[in-house]
Order: sequence, then C-alpha cells, then structure tokens
Amino acid sequence: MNHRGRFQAQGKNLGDSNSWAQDSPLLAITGIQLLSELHLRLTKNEAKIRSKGFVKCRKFILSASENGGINISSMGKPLIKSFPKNYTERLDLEVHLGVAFVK
Amino acid sequence: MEVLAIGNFVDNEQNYTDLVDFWTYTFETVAGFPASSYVNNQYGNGEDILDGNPIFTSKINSLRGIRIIQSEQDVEEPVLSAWMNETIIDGHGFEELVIAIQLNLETYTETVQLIKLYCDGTLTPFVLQGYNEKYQG
Repeated sequence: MNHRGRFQAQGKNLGDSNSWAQDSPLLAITGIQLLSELHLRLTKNEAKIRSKGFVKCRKFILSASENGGINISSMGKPLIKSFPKNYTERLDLEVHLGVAFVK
Repeated sequence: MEVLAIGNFVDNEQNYTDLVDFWTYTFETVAGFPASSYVNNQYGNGEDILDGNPIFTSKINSLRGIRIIQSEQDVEEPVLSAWMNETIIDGHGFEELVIAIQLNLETYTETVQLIKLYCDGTLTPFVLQGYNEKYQG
C-alpha cells in the first residue's frame, strides 16, 4: 500500500482511530468522511471535548486540497498534526506515506 | 525578545519565519546541537504550511524528538499542554515530547525547562504532570 495515514482520537479513557492504507491517493472528500466517521463514533462528551479539533482538522484537509494535497514521498518523515483540548484529550492526524487530501 | 510581541503569525510569512528562527535558536542553545526536523510540514505544491502545528520539530537522537505547536492567542486553546507521544519515524518507533503553547514569557520559560529536562533524560511523568496542572483551566 503506497498511501497511508490515520486520524486518532486520544484521551484519558479513549483511543480510537480511522486509518487508510491503499494503492491510490486519498481524496480530500474521503479524508473528511473518515474524520467524520471517527467523530460520530465518539460518545457525546468525547466528541464535544474535541469539537474544535475536528473543525480545525477538517479545515486543514480543505486547505491541503487547495494546495496540491499532502505528499510524503518517502517513508520516514511524516506529516503529524495534533489538535489538543488539553494534555490528555486531543485529535491527531498522521500522513505516513504517499498522497492524501487531493481533489 | 521581540518575538514575544508577535501576535499574528498564521499565514504571515515574515512573522512565521521569525518565530521558526527563534525556536531553532532556542532549541540549539538549550540542546547544544543543531536542530534536525523529523516531520514534513509542506503542502503538495511545495508551499510551507504556516499554521504553527507544528512550528518546530527536532530529533534529539534517532529514537526521540521534540515537537512544538504554537497557537495564536485564543481562550479555547491550551496556554501550555505537554504530553508524550509514540509515532513512527524512519520506519521505527519514535518517542516525542509534544508541547502546545500560546507564547508569552512564562510559557517560553517553561518550554525551555521542558526541552532541557527531556534532552537530559530527566523528564518524568510526575514532573510533566506538574507543568500541565499549573495551566489546567
């Protein structure tokens, strides 16, 4: 699989993620879908705590899609973004290889 | 430190560059060796992502590193939060100290202390908890 990454919701009592590993670049719309699925899987409270993080992550995906997506040409230097509410509760995005968030 | 007066830097190339230089200088002064970034923070079109997330990363060695996330003044963002994260860099497990801050003299001083403790290998979960509890709303 040449294109891989994940969204991960982390917290004191939480560890849930949605990842992708596929042969074709991840479309921005699919990325937003994966992110939304993760958001919807969380409990109401866990989702509320991270609501701003999800908004910022979604905004980042859209911004990336307007700028050629994200291209990690070789394994080893990923894109990592964290959207923390505090030191325990957060949303992480990692693109480890390949192309993501293209139109 | 004039950079402490920088209010807006997201998508402001000059202010952003000043802050990146500031963090690089700070890290290299504290750590005593050159910074070496371990994350990609560019769009596919080659443009740098000027969002402060992260504003700076550097390896300490092949197994550990520091990532600093800086946000503009925002009551909904952490003033200072720090945690340990496990990821994959260069195909193997990699531990990072992540520090998310809104920059002022106090958070800068705390961040310098955290970088020093982590570089020295003396940052314990208990000590880290102490920093976080101080800023926990």
